[in-house]
Amino acid sequence: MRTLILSLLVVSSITAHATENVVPKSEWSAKSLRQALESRPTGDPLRGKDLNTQHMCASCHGKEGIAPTPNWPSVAGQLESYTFKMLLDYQSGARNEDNRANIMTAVVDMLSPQDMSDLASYYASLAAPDMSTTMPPPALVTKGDPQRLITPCASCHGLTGQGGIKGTPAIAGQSADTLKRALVFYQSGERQSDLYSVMRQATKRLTADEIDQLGYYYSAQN
Amino acid sequence: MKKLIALTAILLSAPVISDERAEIMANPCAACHGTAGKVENSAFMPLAGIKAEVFVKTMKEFRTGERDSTLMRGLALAYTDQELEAMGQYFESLPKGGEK
Amino acid sequence: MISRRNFLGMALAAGAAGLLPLSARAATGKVVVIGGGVGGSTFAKYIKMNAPQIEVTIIEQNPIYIRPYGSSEVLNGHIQMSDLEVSYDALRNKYGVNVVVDKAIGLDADKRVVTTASGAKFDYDRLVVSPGIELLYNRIEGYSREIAETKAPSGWIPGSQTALLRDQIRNMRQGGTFLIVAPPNPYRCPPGPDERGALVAEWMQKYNPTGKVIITDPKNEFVTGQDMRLGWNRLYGYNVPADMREGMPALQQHSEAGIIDWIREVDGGRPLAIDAQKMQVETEQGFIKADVINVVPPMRAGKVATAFGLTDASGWCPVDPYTFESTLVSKVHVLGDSVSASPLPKSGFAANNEAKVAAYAIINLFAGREVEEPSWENTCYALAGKDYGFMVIGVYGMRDGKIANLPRPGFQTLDVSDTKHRLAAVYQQAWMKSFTEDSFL
Repeated sequence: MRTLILSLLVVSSITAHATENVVPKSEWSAKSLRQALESRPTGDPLRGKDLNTQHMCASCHGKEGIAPTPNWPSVAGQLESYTFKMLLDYQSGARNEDNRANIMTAVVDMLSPQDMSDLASYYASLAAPDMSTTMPPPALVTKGDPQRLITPCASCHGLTGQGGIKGTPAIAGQSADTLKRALVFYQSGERQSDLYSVMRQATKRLTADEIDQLGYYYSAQN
Repeated sequence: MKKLIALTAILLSAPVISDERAEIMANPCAACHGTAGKVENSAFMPLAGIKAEVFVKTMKEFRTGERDSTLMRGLALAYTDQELEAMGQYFESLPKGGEK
Repeated sequence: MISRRNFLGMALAAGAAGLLPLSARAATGKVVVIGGGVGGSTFAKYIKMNAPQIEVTIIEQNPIYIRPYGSSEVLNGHIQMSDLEVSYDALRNKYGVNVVVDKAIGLDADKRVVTTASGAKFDYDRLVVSPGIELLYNRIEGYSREIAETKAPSGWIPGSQTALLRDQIRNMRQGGTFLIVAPPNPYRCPPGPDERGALVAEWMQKYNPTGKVIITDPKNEFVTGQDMRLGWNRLYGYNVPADMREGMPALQQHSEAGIIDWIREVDGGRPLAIDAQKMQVETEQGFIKADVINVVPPMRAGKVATAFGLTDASGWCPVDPYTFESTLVSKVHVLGDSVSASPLPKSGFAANNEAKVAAYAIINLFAGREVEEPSWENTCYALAGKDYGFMVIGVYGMRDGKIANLPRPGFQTLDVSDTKHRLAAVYQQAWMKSFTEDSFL
């Protein structure tokens, strides 16, 4: 009997593990994401600058890509491919984690792939904001936590939050609020646009204090 | 006492905006930006705890159109610099909520 | 409760009475509120937030609130009737307001007592009456409350008539006509009837493309008229009349009649009689047959305002703008649509704002302090379509003892970009939520 139960448990845990790796249709796969990024038209940053004004992106994200208030993320210096992916995510509804996303969906609905690429290349051409902390990096940044299956943030986002490793975004110099918001939404699973749940996994077992700390560390502390 | 302070203020050419007046002017904002400046999960940003200087700078930029807006310019145009200052101080004094 | 530091950093001597925070110098008293709509509820909440020791009782006929703002979105299926419902639980449990489901039927203004239908008596130091509107069905020949509830709904006070109208629109034959009879000034929600026409036109483009929307109007203009007509021109094939084109941006010229038409007073739009049997409306220019008839009749202050002697010959309530105290009955304040406080419009936003002014005024009155100078805004988002919004924006203050519309030089909302129209529609939805929260929750 015990062998039966054990083998059932083993079977069910294998099955569970297997289903975690199956990507549901609406989520990105490495293949679909690669295809989307490869088919991106070449962006024109000058045209992107006009679009930034014309479509009111500048109102929340700033004329130079630095958000005028801590409520919104900055986009200056962001990875071109990442910005493009974000816009695709809003357009498809893959990102719809809260009502702020409604603003993005409404505007991006009006954009063509060329428009989106132009905007992405404009933002990529701008000077990225810096993180302004002098505090030493928290352990989660440099070491992660193997017990909780948390990879070190720096391994993808970098010690100074410059991103770019494995296509991850730059996160340095965002407001603490926007960074924390991202972590909280990944943690709850309401944000599902990350490839293979990598961020959902990384944030799953973070405590509220740790989220505060990480947000503060990488932020511009404004 | 209020009259004495007001008189002194006039002599110093700085008309006084009382705390209460600042709050009365700020009260209409709650319909979008939340009661006591707290609004969650909204296209509108919460105002509780916003730095007064950020509030004033933002409203002035809305006023001139330096920062584009749908309707904020239509509101910002109606207030004087001093009124914006007072409203900014009020919003800064409001405790922040724990919101996503 | 709002933390009330002295945030302007002004040095205070103890007892500098006029400058102490609102909650200091405990203002006590008893306020009875008739009407749990936007005005009454916002008032109760803001009293409790600033001076919880003041006793507040709301007497409201309905156990839940059905919001009129945004109710036209039921007609095009964007929301359900249940989405219009707002509970009084927060007022009761979070703010300690005594919400009594009852009907106020009598007022003794000398003894300061309100009597209700259940026989209860409520004494007050200050009474606030915020009863919304009374629809004067009988002012149009052939129309009545009974006809509104069964055949030709009004739905200007939301409820079963709204649901009936929605069903009638859905069941309309292909190629049918939806006719809105617009009201004369003044009325609740100035862009409302034309916004309703636009939303139904948008729905009909999809589900009844050979049908038609007609608005017949005793007026020649309405608030947001230019923005709305521009939207109709861009979305519904509407041609702006030649004499209304000045100051408009480039208009499309449609060779055929569009799905929406607006018959103004000068063109004979004034309604004369409703014939719910023949399903036609007689106007000054002739008879209009329709498959669905929506009548927004003339209106006046809510019934209880009239019953309690708060209205003047106009049918609306004159008030002191500093306190919203009635100029006819002392210690009784009036809020919202019932009030005559031009240029403040008859909108939910205005009711919410007036309530806050009145709340602060009454707290000061109870504490024996001077009432502070009031300030108001009115910002309403209106829709010409699901993704096409625009705004009504007003800022008001006291000038020479009167409420004045403060100038905002150079600001206009006409011909903003497509992006702004889209965003305005997003903000309209966001506003429905945050406004409801600010007023009731």
